Amino acid sequence: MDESLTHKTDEELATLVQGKNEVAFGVLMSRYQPKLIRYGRKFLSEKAHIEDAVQEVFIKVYRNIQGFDATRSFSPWIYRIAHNMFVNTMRQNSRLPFVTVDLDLFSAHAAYEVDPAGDEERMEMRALVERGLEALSPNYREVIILYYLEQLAYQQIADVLHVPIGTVGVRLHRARETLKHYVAGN
Amino acid sequence: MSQETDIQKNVLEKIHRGEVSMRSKVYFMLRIILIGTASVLILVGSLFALSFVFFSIHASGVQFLLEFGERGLLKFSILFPWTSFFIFILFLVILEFLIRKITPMYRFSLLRIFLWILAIGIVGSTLVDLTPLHSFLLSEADKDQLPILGPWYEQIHDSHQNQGIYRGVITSLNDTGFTFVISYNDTDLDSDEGTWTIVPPSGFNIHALSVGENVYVAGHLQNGVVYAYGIRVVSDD
Repeated sequence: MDESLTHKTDEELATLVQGKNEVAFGVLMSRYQPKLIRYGRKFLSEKAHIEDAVQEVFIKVYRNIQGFDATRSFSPWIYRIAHNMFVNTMRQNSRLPFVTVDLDLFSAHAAYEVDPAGDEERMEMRALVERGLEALSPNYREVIILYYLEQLAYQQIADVLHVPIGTVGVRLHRARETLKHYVAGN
Repeated sequence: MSQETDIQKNVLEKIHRGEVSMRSKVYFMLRIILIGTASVLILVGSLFALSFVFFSIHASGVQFLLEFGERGLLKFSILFPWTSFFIFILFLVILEFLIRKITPMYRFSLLRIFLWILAIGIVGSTLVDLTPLHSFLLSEADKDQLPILGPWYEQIHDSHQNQGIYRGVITSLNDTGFTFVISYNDTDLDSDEGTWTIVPPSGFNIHALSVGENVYVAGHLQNGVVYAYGIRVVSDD
């Protein structure tokens, strides 16, 4: 692996991939594969399904890399592709409805304060997430995974899920409360 | 070899074999241009539809029903150009979908984006309604020279006698001051031509009317006489 590439940012690597630099694409894949596998585990249970989905994510990334705006953050862009892939695979495997009405998207949650979690709270929540993730509905599950496990900011989560920032805050709050109740009850 | 390496290897092999190719920048630019153009066309369509609603309401005289109390309000809700209005709403929903697709507007709630687009639609349609566009198209439709949209415009002239609405010119005022006669005689030979005797509602100052004036009357027909619950003089412009 080219040592000079490993020090480059995701966005710099993506720009190189846009110039058809396959080595740079290899570095990007190495960087994101463990993260995407971990993210996929929260949606899919079978290892083979997760690996197939991650491979498809990388293929989609390569195919659509010219559509990436390198002035913006790469992480939400690839997580957006991965998110869609995992959700679609999950729906195909579990017969979940393909179209669902999400009432959270309709209302304005502008008054909801963005409340960054401290290190201690993050550690505590990670433990809760590992113990009680199955208690959460998919909408809350994905937000809490992206925030506590993947450590994305509210804005980035909004970009991954294509939901308002206020909705991210509301879902995180509800997911935290649900998790605490679930863990306390067990 | 680890599983992680296998995934990367498979992807890179597919790229080398040409099974996976990179879409060109032009593809994404064309996609944005296409969606952008569609958005602009839908915006224009929505402005046209809502401005037609405004124009249709005042050109047909339906707006006068708002001054005729509860019964007038009920008739207004029946005669409102709902089809054009729902087309406008449909265009707004499609526009919102497209805007969320090509811009980061998804960061705002659906309701907020919808209200923004609605406000733009109302302001824009009001401006369009101030232009002679719809009057011109209506006159073209009257001359049977407006393809496709012609029937849409011709419905402005539809007779609403079945709803108790009568339009016409005052031809005579009764000496007793309780009745007057209107006739409607346009060039389109619809079912609305005819002559009616109107009994105004109690308290109505019939002396405010004069022969030759256009009036819009809401009432019910009984034994050939229209008992009105609302009368409005229509200005010639």
